[in-house]
Amino acid sequence: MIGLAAVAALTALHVVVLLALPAAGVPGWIFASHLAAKVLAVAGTAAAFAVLKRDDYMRRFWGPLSGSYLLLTLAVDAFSSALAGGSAAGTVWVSAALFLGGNLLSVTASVVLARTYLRAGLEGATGRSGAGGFAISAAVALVISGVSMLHEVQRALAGGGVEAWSSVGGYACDVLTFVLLAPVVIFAFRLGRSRLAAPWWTFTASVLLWLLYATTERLPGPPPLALSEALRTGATLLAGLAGWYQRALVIEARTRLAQVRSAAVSGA
Amino acid sequence: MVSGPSAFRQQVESIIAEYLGARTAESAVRIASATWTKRDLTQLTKADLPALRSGLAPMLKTFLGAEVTAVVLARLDAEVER
Repeated sequence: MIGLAAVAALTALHVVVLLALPAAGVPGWIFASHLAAKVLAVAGTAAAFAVLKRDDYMRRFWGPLSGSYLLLTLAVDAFSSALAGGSAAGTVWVSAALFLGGNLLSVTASVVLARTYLRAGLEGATGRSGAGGFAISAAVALVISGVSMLHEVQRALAGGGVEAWSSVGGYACDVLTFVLLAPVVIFAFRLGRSRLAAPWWTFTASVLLWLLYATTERLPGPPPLALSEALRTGATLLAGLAGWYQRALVIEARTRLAQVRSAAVSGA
Repeated sequence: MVSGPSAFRQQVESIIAEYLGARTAESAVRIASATWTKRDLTQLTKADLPALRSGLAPMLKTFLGAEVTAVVLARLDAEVER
C-alpha cells in the first residue's frame, strides 16, 4: 500500500507542478518527469529480473519489460541524437528503431505473462470466460489503437517516412498488448489477495492506465494535458512498482527459507 | 454420499493459496494429484505428500520462481500434519 500511495503522490505532484508552471517551462518539466518515471520503471523491473534465478520463467517477463522501458527511455530525441552522433537523419532512424524495439519487447513480455497459466500446466483462459475476455479486449484494442493505427498507415503511405512507419508499429504493438491483457486480468482475479497478487495486479493496473492513456487520444479534440500526463506517469511508475513487489516477494522468501531451515536444524 | 475434502488436502491448498489464491491452489492440487498420486482427492493423506510435491513443484516454480517455491515446499513439509 505504501508503494501505491507513493505512485499516487508522485503522479499528483507531477500534475500539480505541470499546471503551476508557465507555458515556457512545461516542455522541460515534461521531459524531466518522463525521464525520471521511465528510469524508475527500468530500475523496478530490472530489480525483479535480477532477483529471480536464471531459469525462472518469470524472468522472461521482467527482462523484456525492463528492456522495453529502457529502449523507450532512449527513444527520445535527446538520447537518439547522441546515439546517432548528432546527425538529424540518423536521429530519426535511431529513435524509430528504439521506439519499435521497445514496443516489441513490451509485446514479448505480455505474451510471456499471458502464457504463464498454461506454462504452469494449469488450464488457461480457454473457457467461455477466456474467449469472452479475448473478444472484449480485442474489440476495445481495435477501437482505441486500431483506428489510430489506420490513420498512421495512411500517413505513412502518404510519405510520412520512417517516423510514421515506426508509429504504425507502435500502435500495432499496443493492440497486441491490450488483447493479451485478457488472460492476465482473468488470472489476476484468480490470485485473489495472495502474495503474487501484488506484482500481478500492479502490472495489470499499469497496462490498464496505458489503455486509458491511449483512449485519451481517441477523444474529440486535443486530450487534456493534465489527464494524459497523469495516466502516462501513473502507468510508468506502476510498472516499476510491480517489479519492486516481485523483488520483495523473493527477498521475503529468502528470509523465510533461512528461518525454516534453521528451525529444521535446531529441531533435528 | 459425497465425501468432503481431506484435511490433508485442505492444509496443502491453504498454504499454496497464501501465494497463488484459493482458486489456483485448488486447481494446482487437483491436477498434481491426478497426475502424480493417481488417487481420489478426498482420499489424499500425508503419505501422498512426496508425490504431490513432485507435481506441484514445477507449477509453483513457474509462477513464483525457485526461491519462493522452496519456501512453499518447505512449509508443506513442516506444517501439513496428516
